[in-house]
Amino acid sequence: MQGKELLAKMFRNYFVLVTLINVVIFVSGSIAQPDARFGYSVFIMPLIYAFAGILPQAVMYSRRELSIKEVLLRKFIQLLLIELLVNGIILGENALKPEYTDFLKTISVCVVLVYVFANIISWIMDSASARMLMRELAEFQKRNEG
Amino acid sequence: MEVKVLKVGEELPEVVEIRCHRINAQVSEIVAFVQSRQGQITGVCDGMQYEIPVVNLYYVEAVDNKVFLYSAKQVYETKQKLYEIEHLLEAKLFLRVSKSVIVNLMKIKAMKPALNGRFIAVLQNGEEVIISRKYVSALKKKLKEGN
Repeated sequence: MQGKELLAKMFRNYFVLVTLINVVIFVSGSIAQPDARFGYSVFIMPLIYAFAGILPQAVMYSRRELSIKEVLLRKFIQLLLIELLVNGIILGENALKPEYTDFLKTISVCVVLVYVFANIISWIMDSASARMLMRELAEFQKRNEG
Repeated sequence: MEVKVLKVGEELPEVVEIRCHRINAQVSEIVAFVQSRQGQITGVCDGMQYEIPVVNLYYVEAVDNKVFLYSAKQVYETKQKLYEIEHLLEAKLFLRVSKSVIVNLMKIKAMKPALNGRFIAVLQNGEEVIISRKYVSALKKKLKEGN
């Protein structure tokens, strides 16, 4: 993936991530701490987490076309970096303390869930584009037959 | 090399004739260009030189500074550069779909999403070619405009 292409994708994914993080916070918060109350500052957190989430997308940058295996490997590295960044922002040095282990696990699972959902949404959008391209290609081939 | 263009009557066939002292790389390049303009590209397979009709090509790929022509079952190497072939085939039913691949749109059987916003074009012979995200808008434009 090239520079401009990467930036465009990061921009698109940022807003997908903000939405998904809001959903995950709502669902997990409703289950774990349904009576919790927060100040206005809570609204900024999904924006910060999403920013941390898109930064590791830089590992997908490549001057040449990556193979499927290379993309999968880089996606795995990307997920690890997101885990490190998000856990680092939320827990900081507390992440290493035993009393925060459950919290760390919960955040890690949430990050994986958001990551998987973001990729599923991207896949669904690309599948729709592929179907549209295929319809247009069939018409193109029909026009140019013979 | 002096260049002469001579008009002939409709009753005579059109001919491109090269008079040279020896067939060098420059002459071969001119021959390849003329042949490709007529719908043929010169390719080498197992040491034999072939004139391949472009309609039989599935895709053209550049690998490590070499350019290969892929038909249904054969792979030929050509001395022409990828950008030269792209220029020659742009008026035909071909399109550059990634940094290193030009594909014959008439040979695509199906398209499916690949990872990372790319697509995979499945060709009629079962081979798969990656369509880079960067070239998707050009593909849409070509499909809408026809040829």
